[in-house]
Amino acid sequence: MRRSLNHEAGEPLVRIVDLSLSADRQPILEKINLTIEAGGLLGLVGPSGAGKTTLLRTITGTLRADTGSVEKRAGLSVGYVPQVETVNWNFPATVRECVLMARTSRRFAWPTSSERALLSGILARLGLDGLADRHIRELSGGQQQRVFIARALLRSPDLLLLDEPTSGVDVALRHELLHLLEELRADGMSIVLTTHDLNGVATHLPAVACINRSIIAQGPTPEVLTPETLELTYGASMQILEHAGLRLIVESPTHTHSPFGGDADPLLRNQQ
Amino acid sequence: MIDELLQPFAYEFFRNGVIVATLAGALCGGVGVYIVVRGMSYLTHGLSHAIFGGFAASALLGVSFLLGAGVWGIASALAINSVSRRRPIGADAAIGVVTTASFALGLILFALFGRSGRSFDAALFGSVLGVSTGSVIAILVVSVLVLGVVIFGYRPLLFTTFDPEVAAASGLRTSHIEALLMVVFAVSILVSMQVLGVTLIAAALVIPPTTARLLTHSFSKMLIISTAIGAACGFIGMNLSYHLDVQSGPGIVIVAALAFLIVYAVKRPSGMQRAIA
Repeated sequence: MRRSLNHEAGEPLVRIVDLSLSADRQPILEKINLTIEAGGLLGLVGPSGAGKTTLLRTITGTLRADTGSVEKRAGLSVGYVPQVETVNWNFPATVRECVLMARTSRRFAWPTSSERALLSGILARLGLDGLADRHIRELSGGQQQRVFIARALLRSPDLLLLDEPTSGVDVALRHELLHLLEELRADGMSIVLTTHDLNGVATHLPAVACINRSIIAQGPTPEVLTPETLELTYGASMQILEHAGLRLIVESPTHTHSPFGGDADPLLRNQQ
Repeated sequence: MIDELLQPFAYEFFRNGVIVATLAGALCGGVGVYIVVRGMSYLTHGLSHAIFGGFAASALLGVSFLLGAGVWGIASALAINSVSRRRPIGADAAIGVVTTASFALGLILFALFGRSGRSFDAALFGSVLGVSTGSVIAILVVSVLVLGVVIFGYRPLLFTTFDPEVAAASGLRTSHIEALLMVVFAVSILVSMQVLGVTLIAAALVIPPTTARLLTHSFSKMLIISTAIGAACGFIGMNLSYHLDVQSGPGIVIVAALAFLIVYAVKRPSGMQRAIA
């Protein structure tokens, strides 16, 4: 079910109410209640198969909930950045073509002069200037990720959804990407991303929702990322260390569920 | 030498044949890009064989080939599209089921009610002899319509082809766009079948785009290059078939295959390129 929220001050962009979804009679999401505020930067964390990507798809509208509702602000424009692992890198597309294809308000191949200006502005902002005629496979991992962010930004979205943007990138690129998202948020864009990078979330994101089929906890990051919540979310014991004003999340060497049986990985046990 | 090359143009059937072959080459080269980049080359074999069923049915019912095979082909294309959207089945299996059944039905109809011989061979391998002014008009109309679809729907078609999930998330009706593409494939095969034949039309849809892909990394350039290669192969192949006294389909396809071999030899991917592919 879809409803529209009023465009009034204080109204969220998206409100998900009691949303449940299953596939082949297997529940994927159960009783999800989540609010996406205007100007927010929210991380969705949880183990693989927790339903993070499915939740994003219900927000974009490509998946319909079995029960519950996704209420969106009227006229909400949503940009979606998929996991780069799903991209066909052999597809014949230059950076320019890849970014421009999403602006379907114009149907022709060739861009208008205002589109050219918009494109070059976005590429420059994302550090992709000079690469417009390169094939998408010829770029570095970080550049490839930014091409798909540029494609979403070209539609001037109110809400930007990113699926695992920090997956497969090194530490420097990950920080660069998270800083970029903070900049976009400062410009007034609302952002939701899924990630496995708990330390990146702890350092950069003001709000987080822990999900494992249902929402385990949501709210300000320091309040949500507690050892108890993380254990409930991941089924594994974790500790949070404070160091030089930073919060670091580390796997606890004790109480780790070994896939081979026993209480802990023998390698971790030796380090105790 | 020049006189000898120009000599067949004195015949109206040959002029019609050359026009249809050139347009068919361009048409197949253009729409074939969408097939090749989607990894659906198998579709070309399947759909042309499915349309053969319609060819046989139209002969049986005594209706126009374009009408009978057209309705049959579009129905098969939409059936493939519908079946392939069911996740557990997938496009390759859907093509295998729908099109082989349609081809088998065509063969049975031919065996029971048709007359084998020239028309049967022409349907399988293409023939310049049956190309009428009506065939020229039909392929001209389809070419203009397909060109219109590609120009006016360029970005939605590209977005849906490259990234259907994000295209749908961006508000595009991807199921409608994919159905439109299937209809485009079906009518392009239909009007090209007369000169290319059921068994060889797949080559006209696959070889020019594959050759163009070796020459460019850009989708828009690939569309243009593939269309040009297809048109050139159609024109040269039809002339070759006349002078060698062979069927038009093999003549066109052998020219396309030679063009691919030449480009492949010149632009052969290096070891490094293969490694990152």
